[in-house]
Amino acid sequence: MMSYRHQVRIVSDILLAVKEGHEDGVGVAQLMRKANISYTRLIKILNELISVGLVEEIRDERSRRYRITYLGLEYLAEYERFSTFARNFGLEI
Amino acid sequence: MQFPEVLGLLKMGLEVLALVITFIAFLISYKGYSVTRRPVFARLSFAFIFLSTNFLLQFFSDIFSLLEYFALSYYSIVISSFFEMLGFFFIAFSHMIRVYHEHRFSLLTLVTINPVIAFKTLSLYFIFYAVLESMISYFKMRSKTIILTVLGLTGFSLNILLSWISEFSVYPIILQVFALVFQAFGIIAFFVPIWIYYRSFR
Repeated sequence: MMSYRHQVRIVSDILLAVKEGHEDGVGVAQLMRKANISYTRLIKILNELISVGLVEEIRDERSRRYRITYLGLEYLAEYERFSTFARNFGLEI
Repeated sequence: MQFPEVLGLLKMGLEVLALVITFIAFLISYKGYSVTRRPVFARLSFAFIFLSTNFLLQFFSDIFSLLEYFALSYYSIVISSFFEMLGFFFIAFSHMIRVYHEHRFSLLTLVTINPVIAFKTLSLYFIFYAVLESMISYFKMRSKTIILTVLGLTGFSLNILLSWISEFSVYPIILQVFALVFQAFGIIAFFVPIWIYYRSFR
């Protein structure tokens, strides 16, 4: 059965998708597909992530791409640690 | 030193160890709640702080018993049993919430008159429920550490069961030895997720 995704999970899914872009970054379309999220919601969350320094935007004339920051990587590692801690007790975040 | 005294000291040592481990688990859960704001960590925080309080009061009860303040020792053990029940209730409750989201339901409770037995009985009910749900989680997630949590909870449940039976036994000492062995087993198994958490920093 599909479980309901809460905000923290959605953010970590987006960060994971951004992380896969490495130094080149990832475009919006790819992020929408990988994080399974609508355009409007993705842009809203991306703007929040940029404002808190978890993601940075790379702009050129033709496109906008997103790259994960060191803080973003730290956040993902922390999320993964807590997620594993809960999972080891048979629970999910 | 007589055998019951050795057993008493061993029991107190294990209580201190269990106090430390459950308190560290509380700190991790609380930090998890501060970072993620997920209610599962709030419930785990409550579970582990209540279990810590239980082990602290059990330790105090043994100290009072040594000092021959038997009434204080008895009240400490009654209150500790209450906290133990609350602690395991929150672990079971976390599973109930998870299961509720998957549209399944859980069963009812047991009642007795003696407060220690009543709380121990409720603890057993909650712990068995947590064991069952942890096993179901294992079959879904296939994470080997869940097996250790299942074994740890089983160790605690056998400890509670034997302590519960020893309340009625003429020769409770043998049951208490086995109860301590199972408690030690439970503590070690509960330590594994904490160890994995700290290992991830390296």
